[in-house]
Amino acid sequence: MKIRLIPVMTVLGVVALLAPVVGGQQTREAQTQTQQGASKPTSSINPEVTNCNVTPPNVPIDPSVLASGLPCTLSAVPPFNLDNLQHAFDFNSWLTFLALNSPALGGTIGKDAPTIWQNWAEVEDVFLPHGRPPQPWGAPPIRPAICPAGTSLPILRMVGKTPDVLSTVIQPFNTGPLIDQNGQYVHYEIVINQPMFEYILQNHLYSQEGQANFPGPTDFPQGSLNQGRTGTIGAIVVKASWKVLDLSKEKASDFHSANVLIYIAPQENPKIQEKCYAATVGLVGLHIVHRTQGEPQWIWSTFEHVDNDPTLSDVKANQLKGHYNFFNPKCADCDVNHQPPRPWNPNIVPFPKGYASQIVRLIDLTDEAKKLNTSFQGILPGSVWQHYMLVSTQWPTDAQSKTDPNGVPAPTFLGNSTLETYIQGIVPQSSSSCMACHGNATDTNGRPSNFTFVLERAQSSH
Amino acid sequence: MSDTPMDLFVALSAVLTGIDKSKLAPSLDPVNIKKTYLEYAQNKAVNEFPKLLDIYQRNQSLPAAQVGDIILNQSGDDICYLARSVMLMWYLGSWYDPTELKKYNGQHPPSDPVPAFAVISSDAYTRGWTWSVAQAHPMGYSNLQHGYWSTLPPSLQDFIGGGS
Repeated sequence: MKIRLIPVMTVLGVVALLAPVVGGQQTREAQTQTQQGASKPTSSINPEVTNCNVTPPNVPIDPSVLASGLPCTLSAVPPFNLDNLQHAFDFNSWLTFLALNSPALGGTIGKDAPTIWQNWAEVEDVFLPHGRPPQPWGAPPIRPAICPAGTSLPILRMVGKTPDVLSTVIQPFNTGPLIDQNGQYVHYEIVINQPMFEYILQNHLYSQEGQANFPGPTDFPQGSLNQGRTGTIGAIVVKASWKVLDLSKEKASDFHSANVLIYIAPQENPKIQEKCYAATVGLVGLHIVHRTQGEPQWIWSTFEHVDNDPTLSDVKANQLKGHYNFFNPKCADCDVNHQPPRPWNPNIVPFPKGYASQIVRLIDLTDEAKKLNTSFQGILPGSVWQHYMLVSTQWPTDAQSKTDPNGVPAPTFLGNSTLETYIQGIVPQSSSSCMACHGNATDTNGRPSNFTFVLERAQSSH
Repeated sequence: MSDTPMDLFVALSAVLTGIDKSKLAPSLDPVNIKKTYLEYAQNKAVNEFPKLLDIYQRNQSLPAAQVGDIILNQSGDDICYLARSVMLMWYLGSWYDPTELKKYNGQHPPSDPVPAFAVISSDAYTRGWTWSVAQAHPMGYSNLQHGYWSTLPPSLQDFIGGGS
């Protein structure tokens, strides 16, 4: 039987008639269910939940949304055009941000406290030496022996978003460290939620041998909405960037902050000494990546601290703030968006010769994103979370495309100035595009790994 | 039927290229190369381009082959070569000036085997339909996932639409 391509708007039009009503609104997810049929969640990996956030994107943004919970999927309302869907995805990003940054111990987002995602599994604790299986979900993080005992402080272990940025292993781009205006290295972490953790654990994808035996394809669990507020959460990855706070110059109340142990792994060439020390850090960047039924290429949301850096248009118009985390407004001849000079040794801080990164955001936020940010920041008065903004959300406009398995992402390019600092821009295949880059991710056998590079970290038992 | 310049341009382009309108101008179109091309052609052929759209508009109810015949064979050289420029723009992502193309169809074509052209943008380069018609991709750029080179490409119909 031949399959005839159906123009997207035809499908959307039919779906608009067939779609179930959720909270008085039609959902875009219904389109995918109509096309694909609902996938069956494996209950031990992606269990059913009854509290999916189904708030549609056309409601007034008031304090009631602060406690509305985590969306399991996208909620959208007609018309399903590019602008309206972008708004729906951006709205979904903010709901997700509010939910995941709510206190881990319960309650509504507002007062600064350890967040829900900060209790998730760090990838370093999932992909262990010799391919050993990880501890069960909820086990405390594995603590390097050099770190002080008797403390439960979380540990930051990366000085670049890509693993082993200071070694020769796995550098998909020429990613370098980011140095704040105090000469301190930015530190990173990548955590995964329980459905993603269980998928890796139960399919033995934590080791190279397990991946070799896995029949594939890798298909991480999807968020879904079945009826009312019942659905599944699906896989979520969070990548966070943190700056070390100098509390003599910076206010902790301007950041979501945390007391942590910073661990520097030893390295031979160049020689870097193993080290572990306590610090107070402030959140400056946050990727939230969520796999959902309508978006098998995942939804890519990225947030930043509002004072990270100016846009290029700000610089050209000389409309600069007095202070940025990663830009010195008084330095006219600083090299913009350049990697720091080598050698890179995070044990030597502040960075030698007074160096600090001079970062400019090359792609400005859209007017719609700015407006949405103002609305959400407006319901967080007095909270550290009012100092964060959504940069944008990348999503697949044609999730079923056979000629573009990345789903024809919108917007085409998206980067976070603290996580994709040196690959901002609009050059195809070179500039930061979450989906176009992660579409090339593989496991340790070179098979596509469903838009995540974390499986490349698996080690062998041999 | 809507007759905005963009609607006419997309419909005309489908006739000239043989590529389905839904592929040239998807309803959700984050790249929006059609806008780049329309504006480029309007700027490069200020006088002739409106005439080309007008000829298409007056004949759009006819079968595609008949419309193509009118444009390419019955409307004069200026329209014919502008239509060729539009076809090349979609296929190669580059602009070949109609007057330049005309030189290559005369008794004494220029010695340079390739007419002068300009790549319109990086997006235009990666979106040139010649790659898709070949079920391939431009050098240095592919949407397909790691390992695609070891499997058959998607069907031609997947790339250019239409068919049955």
